[in-house]
Amino acid sequence: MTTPRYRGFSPALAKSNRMGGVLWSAAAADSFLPVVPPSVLALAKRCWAGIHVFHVSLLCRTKGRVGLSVFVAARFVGQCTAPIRKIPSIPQMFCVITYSLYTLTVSPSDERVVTVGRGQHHSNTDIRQQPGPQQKKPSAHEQLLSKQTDIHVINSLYCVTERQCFHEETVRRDDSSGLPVIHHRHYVCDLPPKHRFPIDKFPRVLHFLIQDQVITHKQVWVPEIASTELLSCVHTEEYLDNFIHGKTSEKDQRRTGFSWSEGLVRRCRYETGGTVLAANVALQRGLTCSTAGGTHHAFPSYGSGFCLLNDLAVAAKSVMNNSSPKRKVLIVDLDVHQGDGTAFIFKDEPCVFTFSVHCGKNFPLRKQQSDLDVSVEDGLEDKEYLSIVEAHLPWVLDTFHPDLVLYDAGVDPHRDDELGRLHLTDQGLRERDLYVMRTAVSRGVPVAAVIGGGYSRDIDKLALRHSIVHRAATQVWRECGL
Amino acid sequence: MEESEFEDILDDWFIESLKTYKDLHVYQLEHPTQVIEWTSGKTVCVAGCRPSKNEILELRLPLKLFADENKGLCAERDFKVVHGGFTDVPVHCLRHIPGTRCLVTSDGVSAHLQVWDLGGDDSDVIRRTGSVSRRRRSHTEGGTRIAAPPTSLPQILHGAQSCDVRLSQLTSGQTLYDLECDSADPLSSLLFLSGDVFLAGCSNGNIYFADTRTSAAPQLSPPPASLGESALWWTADASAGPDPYSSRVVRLSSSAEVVVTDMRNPGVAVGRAQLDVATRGCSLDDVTLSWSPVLKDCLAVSGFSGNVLVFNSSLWGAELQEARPLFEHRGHTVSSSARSDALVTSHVWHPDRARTLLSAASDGSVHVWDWVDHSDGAT
Repeated sequence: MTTPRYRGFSPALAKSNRMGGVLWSAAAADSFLPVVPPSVLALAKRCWAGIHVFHVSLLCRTKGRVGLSVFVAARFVGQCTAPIRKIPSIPQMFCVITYSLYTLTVSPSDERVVTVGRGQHHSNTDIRQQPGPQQKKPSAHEQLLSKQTDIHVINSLYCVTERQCFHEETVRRDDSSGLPVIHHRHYVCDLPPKHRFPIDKFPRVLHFLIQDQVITHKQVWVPEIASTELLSCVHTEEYLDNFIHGKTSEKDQRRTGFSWSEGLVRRCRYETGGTVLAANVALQRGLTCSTAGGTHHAFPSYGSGFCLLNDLAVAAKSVMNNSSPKRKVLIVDLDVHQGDGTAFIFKDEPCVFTFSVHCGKNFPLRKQQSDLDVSVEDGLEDKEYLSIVEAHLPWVLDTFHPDLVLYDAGVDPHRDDELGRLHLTDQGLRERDLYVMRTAVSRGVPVAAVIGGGYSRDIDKLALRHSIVHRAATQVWRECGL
Repeated sequence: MEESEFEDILDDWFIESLKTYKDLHVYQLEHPTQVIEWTSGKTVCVAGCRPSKNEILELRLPLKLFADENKGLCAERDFKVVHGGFTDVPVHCLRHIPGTRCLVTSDGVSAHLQVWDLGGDDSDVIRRTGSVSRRRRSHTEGGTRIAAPPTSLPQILHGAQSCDVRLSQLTSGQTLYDLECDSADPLSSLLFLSGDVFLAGCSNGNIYFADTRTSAAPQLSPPPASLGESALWWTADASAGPDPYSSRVVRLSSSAEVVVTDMRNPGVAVGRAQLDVATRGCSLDDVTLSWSPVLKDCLAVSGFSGNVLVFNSSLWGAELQEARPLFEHRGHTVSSSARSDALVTSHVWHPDRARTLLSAASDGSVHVWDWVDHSDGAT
């Protein structure tokens, strides 16, 4: 009952794959595949260490050569819809599985690589003849393909979705593939001097994480800029046109708190791209953090309160629309301000659940209606705040069954925040972040966290406060053996 | 106005205020005050003005306002009531004797003054310790103005008309000085320029300068010719400086005309301006005019509406022209509900911090704000 997503798999395998623990159980895999030579199995394990090997199966044998199909998927895969299908009549050694994410099948004996899109059946395709949207690093593939009998470490894994190639994941052979952290140098832009929005905090967050050795540069993923097409699934064409080309009215600009500039447009688009990347990587890896994000006051046709594009909404839509059936997304918004833009955008969308805990007296005074709103009084402290989150998050997860949690870990409930009216401490924020991430991850739901809001004229103090969520995520990553 | 429309306006103003203010803190009193008086660098006194049973409160300003370098460390963003007391009469004028814990109030009806002890750390009660009674020389409407000398001596200058201004000893009530003046013009302002020199402004625009050490007749400065509409009344303020006789005097008329003169050459207007405000229905008691103690040539005007206007008078010429404010504090207007438009009842500048002001409005709101000067092109 607890893991309906493992339909079609052996119960033994399902049980051994405790969500939150070590994913791959060799014993279970062995029981499935008695004929796989141990040496090949061991090699597969080494290759894919750091990625969760879901299933290893032998496909067919032809002419004495062994093909190995390694199915790679994020542990937190949505629906597994079909059992393994064999195509014994085809001499190639391919096996196709329908996964909701992706699979990579490698056959060293037949020099072909098949990539399977989400929720789709594919026949064998020669990737060399069919250039995908991202044909980067052909050398890794060629290196692989040149070997006839050995499986070499595959350096790159290409993820091809139905519509877009969104990133390239580097598979590391050692075990230090840690928590993915999304960052882009264009998260900042120039603002007028003494502007109240602390834009310099974004690079400072990364700086402190690296300096304090919480993460290494290898863990940093760089997003692409969000395209107009991607943004148009949330924002109106007119707004996007005005926004990108600098035609926003004075009045509309005032409400956002920013004066228009090209740098501002660029940074908003990269920030949104970062959250989209975080969401998609979380689906594979289980847990990610951006060093920006949380622009939840943006509505489809206007911006507000330092938010110009709604990154959480765009990320949710991108994750939903790239799967069939639609994925379900839970947006947990613990910024001290209500996520009014996000609530409005998804008010009629059953596949997205918006949950916001906010201070009633903080901006905006005009509240929207999330699926679950908890409005708290001024001055609330650590213990009471945490008990409110604990009272709601588990039942929401257990009844809504999301495929992904987007977590806005705003630090403006902190007592030293200049705008927030609550009284949390650093420790309180940390407990909150640990709780949210542990609760979701232990239920097998991936989490993509964004830093959310925080206002202080002391940028370093603020950046350190924002880095609490990354530190907590690193701890959860280790605890859960991700 | 619908609730949601009102909330939208407040939300819009909040975002704007992030840019236009360095600091802004609001407090809501149960009943509005007409007086704000500093009792220290961080505390002010306010008092109710209802016909009976009013509170006098000493409020401590939010500590976050003063934590300039370490705003992040200071969580205290609320006003705090540190001392309080009750009075049976309205408080029309309230003055603090600097360097002491003594307050003097007048009720705006009789000529009597009440003397209070603010209390120290041991008690949070403001107690009435005495009164200064007097009979008025002639029957008049209008409240008694009070001024406290900048020395810490227990003396108080008070009067309702130009003919009955006197300096009294607080404890004994003994008259130490009487202003030599025959005309009975109702006073609109009374203030000390130094330890001994004071200014008495009349509602007809006359200004008397006198020295409490001598019994000589005061120096009279008549009002400037009103270039705009004729004035029903005038109020005045003067900037204290090292030489009281070279102070700058600013006068504001009922038709919102402002005139700046220099006491060394009192007949010549140094600067004039016409303020763009609605003046109908405004009485002398509604309006407050004050020089900034720190920023040279800056003055603030309130009472014509729910806004406080700050001007730079050095930009004004001798011809009457419309003046654009350097800054307009709209907080009281924006936050008062559509049902009752708030009027600003009083404002004061902070004695040391250049751009910090306090303002109170008829809806009971008290704001302390530190505005950002955008005038020189810096954003």
